[in-house]
Amino acid sequence: MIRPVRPMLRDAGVLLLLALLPALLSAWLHPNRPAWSWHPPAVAEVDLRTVQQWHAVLWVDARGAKDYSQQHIPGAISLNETEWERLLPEFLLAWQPGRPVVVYCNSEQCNASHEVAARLKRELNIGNIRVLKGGWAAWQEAHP
Amino acid sequence: MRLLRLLCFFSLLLPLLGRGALVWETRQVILPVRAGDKEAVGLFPFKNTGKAAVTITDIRASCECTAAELAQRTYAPGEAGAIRVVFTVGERTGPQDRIITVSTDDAAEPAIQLRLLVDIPNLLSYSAKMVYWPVGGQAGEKSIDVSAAGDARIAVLELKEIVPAQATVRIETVEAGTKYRVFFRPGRVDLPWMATATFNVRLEDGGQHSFILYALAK
Repeated sequence: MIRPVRPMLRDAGVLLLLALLPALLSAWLHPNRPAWSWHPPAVAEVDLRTVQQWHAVLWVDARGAKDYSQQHIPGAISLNETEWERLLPEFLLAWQPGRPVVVYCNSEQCNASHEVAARLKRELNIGNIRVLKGGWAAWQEAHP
Repeated sequence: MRLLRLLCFFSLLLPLLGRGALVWETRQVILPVRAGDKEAVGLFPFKNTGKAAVTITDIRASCECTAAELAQRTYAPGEAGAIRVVFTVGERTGPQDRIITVSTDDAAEPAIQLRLLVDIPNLLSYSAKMVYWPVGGQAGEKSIDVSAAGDARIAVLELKEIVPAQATVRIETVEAGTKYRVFFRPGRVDLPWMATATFNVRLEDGGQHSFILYALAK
């Protein structure tokens, strides 16, 4: 026997409302609730497929010196906030107005690429700058 | 049908009971940092309030600048511990937000996120760190504003050197003690070059600092 749609929708609505109550209580009272704050990134992300269609890109490796020395995207410049002042001149020598700058760090979980990109944008007024979505892990996946 | 509804309802209440055995004193630490500090250390104390031992299987930070240390991996019921987090300040500035993900074998809460907030104070702030002229374009004067941040007051701001001397530099006081404008006038911009200008600053409290601004023709 097929039940009418309206009572089913009503039941579904009631269940959703009932689910909302403990969810709100949990969000308010739970001792282990996650942090709520979220700020949109200052620099937009771009995927590897899109970057590969661009004519010329200046890659910036925001990982630590050890990771960079082990392996990096060919032609990438090392620039991280631990040694910002020492590394910045090399970036400036390589930078060309109008040439897109793409910053990466290890993976989706790291935020060094966003921080380096935001700082380049803020301190050098570089407009054409993006963060590589998925970072070095995405590059490795595409270049096994 | 009624039984099914009741089951659904109570299953929805289950998340309220979902609490891991590790109880944390805090999941967010705000670290005080002074200008010039090399690193900052924070502690995330916890206690195993469950009835079984809990093993911390992995600790990962969202930045290589954050190292987490733990005295032991497995904690018996009632045993307390703490994750010690060392944040390398390096040459970072401003607010820093780091997530440390702790993985455990506790089925009720296998992954815990801890948050480290650090605000690295600046003695000086800049409208930019670089001025640039397009090669073959107009060689007009360009400027960068340098301001004292917070309570700091500038007593003396002077150019130490510009290398190579591709541009001349002059400094204008906008507001004595707090805001100055540094002007760069390039000699020529028909070829690419990059110059590094180093400035010395003496603050009214006696502190001495230096900073670098860049001038480029590209």
